[in-house]
Amino acid sequence: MTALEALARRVEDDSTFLACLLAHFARSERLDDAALAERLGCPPDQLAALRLCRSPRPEPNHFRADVARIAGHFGLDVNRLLEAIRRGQVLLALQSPLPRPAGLLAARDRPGEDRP
Amino acid sequence: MSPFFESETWEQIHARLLQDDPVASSDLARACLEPLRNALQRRFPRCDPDLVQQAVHDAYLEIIRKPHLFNPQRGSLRGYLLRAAACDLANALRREARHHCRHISVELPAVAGNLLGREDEPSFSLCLAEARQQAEQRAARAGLSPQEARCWSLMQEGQYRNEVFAAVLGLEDLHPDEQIREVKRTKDRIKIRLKRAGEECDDCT
Repeated sequence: MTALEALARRVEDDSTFLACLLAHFARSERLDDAALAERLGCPPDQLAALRLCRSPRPEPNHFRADVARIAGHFGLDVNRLLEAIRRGQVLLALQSPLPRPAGLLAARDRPGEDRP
Repeated sequence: MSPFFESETWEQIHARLLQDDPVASSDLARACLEPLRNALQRRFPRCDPDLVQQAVHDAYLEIIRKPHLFNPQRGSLRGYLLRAAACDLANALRREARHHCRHISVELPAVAGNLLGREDEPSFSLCLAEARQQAEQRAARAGLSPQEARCWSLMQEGQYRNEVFAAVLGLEDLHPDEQIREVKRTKDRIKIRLKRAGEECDDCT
């Protein structure tokens, strides 16, 4: 495994990197590296470099531009990449723990009130 | 794919990182990982290549997460990343050496023969000692004084704290601003003399 591949593996849990989103997508589709590369239309030897791109920024205007920039840089079909990234984002969001409510409220009888 | 990174300096890729270019992190990885790993392995020749690689990865991830920490006016990105990786590696080796030392004292009695400092000890401290020895040999070839040689050795381990160099050079009594200037003068002098002596000097790039 090259230094680049080892690093790409290491950052699969780090949502800063595209590696994280692509890993979620690949798992959901049961794709190994070769199949993922084929699905994205990416030469297999470029997959590690692709994974080391930064994840697109979430703001709508930046998101489109970032995906287009990555696709253009690696010569990929932007729609295929977009589909993989969107799926990865959804799966990542589903996996994240829900925010806990600040506190629990409970009703209490006022003094002197009859209980049903 | 356009191999932009091959015609760009690391500083130019860093500028793209600051501009939020999503492919800059990939380009920097392709440009820097191998050269940094090779340079660091030369400094710590007996060190486990996996530990060396991890230190390089840590330095890379740090600059990706906090690109503003590097100021191109203060030196090269190569020097910055190499110092960061060397510092991480030296710290990891010290940590492992301490852990190993405690482990040995509990599990292996002296009669078992596995003692620190002996050639049968698979020691992390030996990696550090050897790196220091190598730095000192190069310093001697360049005609550096013992104090300068110690500073060079610290530079090779990624040490960056001014007060550490000031202590080695006996400058503690000077005003902090004067210490900074004198330490910088000494480091510059060391690099020039190493270059003149034909010694490889990763920090000089």
